[in-house]
Amino acid sequence: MNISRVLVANRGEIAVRIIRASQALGIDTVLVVSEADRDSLPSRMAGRTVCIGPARATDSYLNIKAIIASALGTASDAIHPGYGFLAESPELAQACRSEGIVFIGPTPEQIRTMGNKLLARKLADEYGLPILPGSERIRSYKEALTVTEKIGLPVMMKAAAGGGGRGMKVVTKSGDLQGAFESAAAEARAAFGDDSLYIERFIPNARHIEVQVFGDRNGNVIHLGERDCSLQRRHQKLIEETPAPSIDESLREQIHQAGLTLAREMKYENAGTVEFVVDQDTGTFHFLEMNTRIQVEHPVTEMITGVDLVQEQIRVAGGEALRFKQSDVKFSGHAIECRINAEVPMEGFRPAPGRIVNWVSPEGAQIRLDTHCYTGYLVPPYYDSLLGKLIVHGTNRSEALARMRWALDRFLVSGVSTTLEFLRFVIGHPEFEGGKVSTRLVETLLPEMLAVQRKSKHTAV
Amino acid sequence: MADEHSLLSEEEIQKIARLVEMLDRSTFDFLQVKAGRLQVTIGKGSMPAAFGMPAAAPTEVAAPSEADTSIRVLGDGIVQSVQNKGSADGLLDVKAPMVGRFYTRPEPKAPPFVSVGAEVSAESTVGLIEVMKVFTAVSAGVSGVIAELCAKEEQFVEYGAVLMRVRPK
Repeated sequence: MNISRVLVANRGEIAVRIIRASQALGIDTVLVVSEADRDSLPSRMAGRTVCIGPARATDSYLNIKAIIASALGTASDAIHPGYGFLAESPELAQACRSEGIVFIGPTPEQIRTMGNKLLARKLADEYGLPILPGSERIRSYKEALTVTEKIGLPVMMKAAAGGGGRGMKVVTKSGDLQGAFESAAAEARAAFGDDSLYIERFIPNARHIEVQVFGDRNGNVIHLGERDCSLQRRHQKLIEETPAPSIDESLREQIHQAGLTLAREMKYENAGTVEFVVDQDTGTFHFLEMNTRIQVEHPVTEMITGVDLVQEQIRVAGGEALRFKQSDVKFSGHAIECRINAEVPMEGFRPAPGRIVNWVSPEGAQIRLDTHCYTGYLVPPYYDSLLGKLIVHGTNRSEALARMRWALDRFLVSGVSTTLEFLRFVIGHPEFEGGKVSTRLVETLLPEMLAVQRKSKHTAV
Repeated sequence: MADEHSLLSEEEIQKIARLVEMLDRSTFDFLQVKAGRLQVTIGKGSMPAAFGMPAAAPTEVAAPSEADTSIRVLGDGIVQSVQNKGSADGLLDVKAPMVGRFYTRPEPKAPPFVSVGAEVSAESTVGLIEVMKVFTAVSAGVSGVIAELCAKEEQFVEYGAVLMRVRPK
């Protein structure tokens, strides 16, 4: 493998993750940091740290030139972009290619294609994947009205340059359509610099199921199973698990094959995730989008397959062939992940940065914690609120649930508000226990959970 | 926050609290005070340009000394400690405004922009930083005399790295 030094162009828990994977492969690491992250856990783990700018992400973690300059200045062979930030930036991938740096991810063309959600939808359709009834680009409210009359309410208005839960608006009443169109276009222009919109039918009783795919440079593409990420709040995932509970085995297999087909037809390179929505009322599934990066929730797949996805990313980017065929991939047991955020659920989940006075995390067999936090760490206000990911494995879902409950009960964080109490509530709730998950579950449980929290306001978490 | 407070004694914290109260009750927006090893700048809204440099006349204490720590109390009560590393010996740092490769000369064969002893103004170019073949001039930022050169020709420098040090006029 021709990579001996990796530049980690990210921060927080995923920077820790990438450094660990690199160290396991005997590869040197360079971490870029903003001024706010100079004294972070990953900066102490990396072989070398380069400060590339002030705290604001646009001046640091989103600064392509600074990142490339750092790779060249430290003689790094490769850049791992993590997730978020520039992970799906075709410009960064292209700049790497121009400068002879290996980008640990797919090609700039693949990133660009799947980054345009409307184009991705078209491609999926061409390759025979089921897509939701919907539209091409809609340029006016009149077009939106025509499409909506054809496919019926409710609909989801989506930004073509969006994705990852951003730039989406649900419209349930025809009277809201014009306002939704205008505000969606304005928001898309402001957030993505592109106001292209399209419409898809909205599935109210839905499951979000995604497939992990992986390809090497020789055209070998495999899948590593699915993940159920239905537990979301405002399109941001909170709890993920694999295998997806309570679905037909034949449906599961169809979803695997659909994800694999898309990746194969594209000759997709490196790690990716193909996302689907399952309509629980009809039992049908439809392509949503493809994410051309390693995902936050990748650990649950690692727990049931025994594959270290980040290590494989580095190997494949370094020119190695995929070390296993589809028939080598085996699934064992059940895994659940809870994302722990520095947020106050009782106050609309507002971010709550600050100093962690005490951080006591659970430990034990089949328990994994991916985090950059520790006692005394100052959570900066400039970035996302993710403190860490708690992942458990069990021989079946019931055992995994019990283990997660046990682990959450022993997770104590003081100094900053966290979503731990909220997670305990959801994990312990009969609906979740019974596998009755859907994208609506969090919103329906929230009032109940907040009422319980208000009553026990004086209990320490 | 423990780290910042370890730089201040209880007495110093009390002094700052009294200053904030005084400012609040006055009609003034900003106050800068040097007291011993502390320089305190407090105010509301955006800081006037004149407060940028540590040049205010001391209002108390017999022997004015250079402050090595400025405490900024921002409008929403956050105390920000800003280290003026250069002040211990009276020198000010010229820091890299971006990460990249530092060049001391305009061209490979030309003499360097500055050497030790050179007089500079705030706008004087003292070097170049190259990022992906694009060169940006680094300005001295302060008038004075070059006292120390810290970064070498073609050295890879990070954001905020000390490139040279200036004895201000």
